[in-house]
Amino acid sequence: MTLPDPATLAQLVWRCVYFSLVSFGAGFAITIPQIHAQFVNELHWLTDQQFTEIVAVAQAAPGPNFQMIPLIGWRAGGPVGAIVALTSFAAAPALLAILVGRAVRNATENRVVVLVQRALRSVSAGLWFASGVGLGRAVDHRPVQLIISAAVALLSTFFDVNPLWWLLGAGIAGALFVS
Amino acid sequence: MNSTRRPSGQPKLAELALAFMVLSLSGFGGVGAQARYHLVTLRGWLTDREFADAFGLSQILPGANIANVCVMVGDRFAGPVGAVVCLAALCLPSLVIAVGLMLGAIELTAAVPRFAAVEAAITAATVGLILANGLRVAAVVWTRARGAYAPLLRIARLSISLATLVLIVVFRLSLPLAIVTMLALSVLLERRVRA
Repeated sequence: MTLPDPATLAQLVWRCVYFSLVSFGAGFAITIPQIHAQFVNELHWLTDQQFTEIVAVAQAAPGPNFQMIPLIGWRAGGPVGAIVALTSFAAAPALLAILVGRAVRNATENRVVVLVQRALRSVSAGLWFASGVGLGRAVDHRPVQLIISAAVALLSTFFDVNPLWWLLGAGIAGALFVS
Repeated sequence: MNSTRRPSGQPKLAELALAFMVLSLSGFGGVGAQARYHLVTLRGWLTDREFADAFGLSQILPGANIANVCVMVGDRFAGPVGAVVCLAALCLPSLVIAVGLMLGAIELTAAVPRFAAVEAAITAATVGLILANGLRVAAVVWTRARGAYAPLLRIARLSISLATLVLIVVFRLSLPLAIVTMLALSVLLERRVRA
């Protein structure tokens, strides 16, 4: 295994740190065109086809959708590249999440924190909805998929079973009703 | 539909890591959609409201929501080491599978004609799960409005949820801008409730 050269790794680190800071959960799909612009058009680390493949693999494999970042790292610098990309992408938000999470947990008596947290809940519900609609828009949304989304949204709200059952049911429905 | 069960004690580091690995490996088309079931219903480590609040914070912080929730839960129960271990459990096992798929260059879509249809259906189900999470948070918001003005307050709060959705989805406002705007309005509303 040959180590990737330091210049490539340095590029990889700061691009991943940048993407980690501009991507908000619900908006990760929004940053994908930017990721494409930098790694494919600007740095030429991947071909268009490799990029499309990575998006498809990240979608098909289980796991968080940001795993396309270490996959790009792998294409740029093998296993070391993948780990460097993942670490660079995860580190800054993780540190921030630890600090903010602790501050909020230790401030249950603070009126401002309690107020903001209560205010945040209404916004959070809207962000969940926006995230669902965003993902729905990013893939096929023919009648079959729309019905599946609506059915799972309602059923899973009232029947709190392992979500894998809903995915399994949907997968079977998708296989049966394919035209 | 709101779990009022108390969190069942202090999970050990290994239990935390296992839970996040299982969560990650069962997530297709997004892991965050299933997080509530694993952390609240299955493990009982968080109440519905604690999960809603942790996820709410994660949404307004940079980085992936699920990674932020993972780090917060790991740190809460097992300190910074817990945060790192949980994050590794969330990312690495699934990454091994993803790298395998990438290097194998398995053209699943071409190999199995129905694969694309199945994948689209599973993603559609994940969309449904995400929407259900929104409904559950809305339910927390709804049931916690009390007093003489409760009906008005409920309508005002849900208007904020819907306005957030519309700003992002219809008007394509950038996420940070939409969050700051709606959070400011929501704080103004909640201040009046207290007064």
